[in-house]
Amino acid sequence: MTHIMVPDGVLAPWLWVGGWIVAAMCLAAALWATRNTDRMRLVPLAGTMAAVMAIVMSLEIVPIGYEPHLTVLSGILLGPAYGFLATFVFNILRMLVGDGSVTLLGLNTLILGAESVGGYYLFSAFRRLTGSPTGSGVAAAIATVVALAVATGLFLAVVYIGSIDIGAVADQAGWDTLLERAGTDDPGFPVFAQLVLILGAVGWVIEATVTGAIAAFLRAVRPTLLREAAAA
Amino acid sequence: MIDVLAIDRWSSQERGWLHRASAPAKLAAAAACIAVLVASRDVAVLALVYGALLAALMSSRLPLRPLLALSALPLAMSALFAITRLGTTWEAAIAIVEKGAITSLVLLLLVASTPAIQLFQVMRRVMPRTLAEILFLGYRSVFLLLGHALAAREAVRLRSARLSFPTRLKRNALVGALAVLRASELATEQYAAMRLRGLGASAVDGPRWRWPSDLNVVLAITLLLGASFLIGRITDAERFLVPTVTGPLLILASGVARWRTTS
Repeated sequence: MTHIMVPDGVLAPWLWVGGWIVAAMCLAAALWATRNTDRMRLVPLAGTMAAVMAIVMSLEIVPIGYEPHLTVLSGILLGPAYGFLATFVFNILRMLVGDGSVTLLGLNTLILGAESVGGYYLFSAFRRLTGSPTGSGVAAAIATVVALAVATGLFLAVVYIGSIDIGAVADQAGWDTLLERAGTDDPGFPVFAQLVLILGAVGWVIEATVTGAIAAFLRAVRPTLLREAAAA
Repeated sequence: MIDVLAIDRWSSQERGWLHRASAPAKLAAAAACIAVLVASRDVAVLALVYGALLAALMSSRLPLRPLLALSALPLAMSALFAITRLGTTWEAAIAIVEKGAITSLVLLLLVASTPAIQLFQVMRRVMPRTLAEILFLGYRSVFLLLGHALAAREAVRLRSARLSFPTRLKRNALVGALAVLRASELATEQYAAMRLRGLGASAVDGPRWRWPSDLNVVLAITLLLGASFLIGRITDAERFLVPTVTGPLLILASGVARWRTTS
């Protein structure tokens, strides 16, 4: 739900070009941060998590139109740098199955990367809870809900900023009468935001349950996978 | 669910002209389509592009219905966004849906007619090593994970009765966790083996890139369309007509000649 599924050419070029530039800078910073890490362990795990996100994304919860991503789980397991890189690769894998826009790759990487990085730091903040599998599950679930809420805010902000440009086009095209009847310059955004927040909140809870269950299971059978985030 | 396995299977089967075209030419054509999406809000122009893509799909011997069904999946969000634009004009809403359909179909045509390994070869030339390795392992892991997850889900389904939604959710999460664990172990082993075989060394980075002849054809057509679009928008267009048309026509002629020679 938090990635922008608007087609190519709908959002203003300054917005998606800006997204590409900021995403490239973040990717450079993430690559720089990975130079002295355990590549033999983290590169394959990052690839696996990118694949997990690509598969889970395709399991859309149809009644609410929500696509879970497990980006927070990926951040918890990989840390912020590899988590961000895995998110970028996930976006490319999405495009390879025909889902996603090339021009919005930068913005989507930033929004989903925020979930991943934010999820890692939130889970780390709850490290007192992570002594047991149940506690780890609860910490991961809370981190998921908060990170997804923040990322949805970012998503809506991007759509809103993009909509301002469409409003300007509407003015130039002489749609003033229609806009006056609607009573606002941009009648679509409030409706869109309400739908996204209501449906998204249900999705956050479902995704948090799944992330929490997986984190609890991993804490029980392979605690080393979570240790790094819990120790941060 | 998006059938990733089917897309991979279609891409590796030699079916028609789209499969025989080179990966760079197809990437250039996809980029040109996306450039049209960025530049145009005209419903008729977008419909023309979608029509051309449909013609490519029908003549490419790719499976028509499954691909059209796959391309329709990402349209739900585009349609939702388009509904919120109904306050402006119908044309704006239709253009958004058209753009969603074109983006989806153009990428599907690209990946369903080009083996992934060829696309990765192009990507490896423009990506840092770590990212390229994560991308390669990620792509391989998709198939490992799918296999493990489907087998585990089948096993759980056979051994249990009908369950409530929360219990099913928790059980599916455990199936997912098991698949993640096993797939990451396999990916680690595979990565270690690839490093031992010299992954990252320049000798295994693939053959030297050669300019494919069909890329000339795609570039020339793109240039011609781009030039005609620009000429239609400037005053005193006649002065620019000859130089802007001659160049692309020469490229087109040389591309067609080389294409005929090589094929």
